[in-house]
Amino acid sequence: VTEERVVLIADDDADLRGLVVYRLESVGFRVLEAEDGEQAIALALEAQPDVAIVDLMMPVKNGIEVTRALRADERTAGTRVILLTSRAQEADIASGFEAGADDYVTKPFSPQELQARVNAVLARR
Amino acid sequence: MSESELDRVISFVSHELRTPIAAILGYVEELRDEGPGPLTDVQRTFLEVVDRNGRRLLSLVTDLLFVAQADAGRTAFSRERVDLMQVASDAVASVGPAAAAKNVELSTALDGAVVVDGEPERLAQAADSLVANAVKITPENGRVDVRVAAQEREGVLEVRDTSIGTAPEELPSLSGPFYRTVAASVAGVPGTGLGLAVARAIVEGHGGRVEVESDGETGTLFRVRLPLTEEGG
Repeated sequence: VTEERVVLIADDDADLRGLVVYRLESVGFRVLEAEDGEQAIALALEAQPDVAIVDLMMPVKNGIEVTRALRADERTAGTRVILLTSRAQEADIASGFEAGADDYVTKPFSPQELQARVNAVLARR
Repeated sequence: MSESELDRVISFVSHELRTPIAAILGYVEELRDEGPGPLTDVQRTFLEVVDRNGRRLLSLVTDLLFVAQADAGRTAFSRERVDLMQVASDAVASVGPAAAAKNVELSTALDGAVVVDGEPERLAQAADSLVANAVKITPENGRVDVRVAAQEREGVLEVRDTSIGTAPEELPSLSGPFYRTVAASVAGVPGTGLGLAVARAIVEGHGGRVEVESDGETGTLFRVRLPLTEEGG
């Protein structure tokens, strides 16, 4: 029996979350949803997902703050973080990597590509 | 507005516009992959229309934000040695099919290497835009001339079309955002008026300038001037 992989998607846009849920569930991941940064941190610490896909620009706490919080707690130290960005935020991508993110994907992204990135960061362990 | 405020606004607008586009294009991709179920031919055709328009919206948003950033002096370009001759010849090659479709003759006069400093992809984008624009505005059986030469300390790229031209009073507005010439509108040439604004922003961001000449009757000439790479510099 293979262990079920868990992915957290944190984005304040419900339609976008739905897209990620559909794509990743269809290939066997369990997907959890958070609609702001604070919820993302709480849910991640509780569920310890294998991968967290985190939008850079979210209410309450942004993606950089979420990444730092996950890196700072030993329960989520092994969680791979993929940031979702828009192109004008290139400076933020650098801060994202400094905060400990593993990869980033630019909006709009192809769901297939996102799935490939998730598999890639999981294989990197 | 301060620079950091402006950066924040641009960043916010970019994010807020790209997120819904990401949802549109992403769901369309899932439907077209038929994961949710098989499609009829008509459904597939309609989804292609949604996809094409979603992408059009995306390129509009991208161009618009680029022009806004450039206007505020907030664009940064990498600096590599770029051969303008190569850039022009690639631009001409890429419009080949569009020109052939309306029997527009493409003539090129390309000297040896004319090397400038800049970001290759951005300079290519500017050249593509000028050449594609010239083909678009030129009626059937017309011609488009593309020339590259070194003059004094500048690399010069000229694109001349044989459209009905641009009225002299329209010339100053031509490379501003959203400006569409009366001639283009009357002829039903599609466009948003952003292409030239983007090209100008790229050229000016590289320390160059774009000149436009037309007598309002026999076509329009766009001339890009960029500083040549200093030898040994």
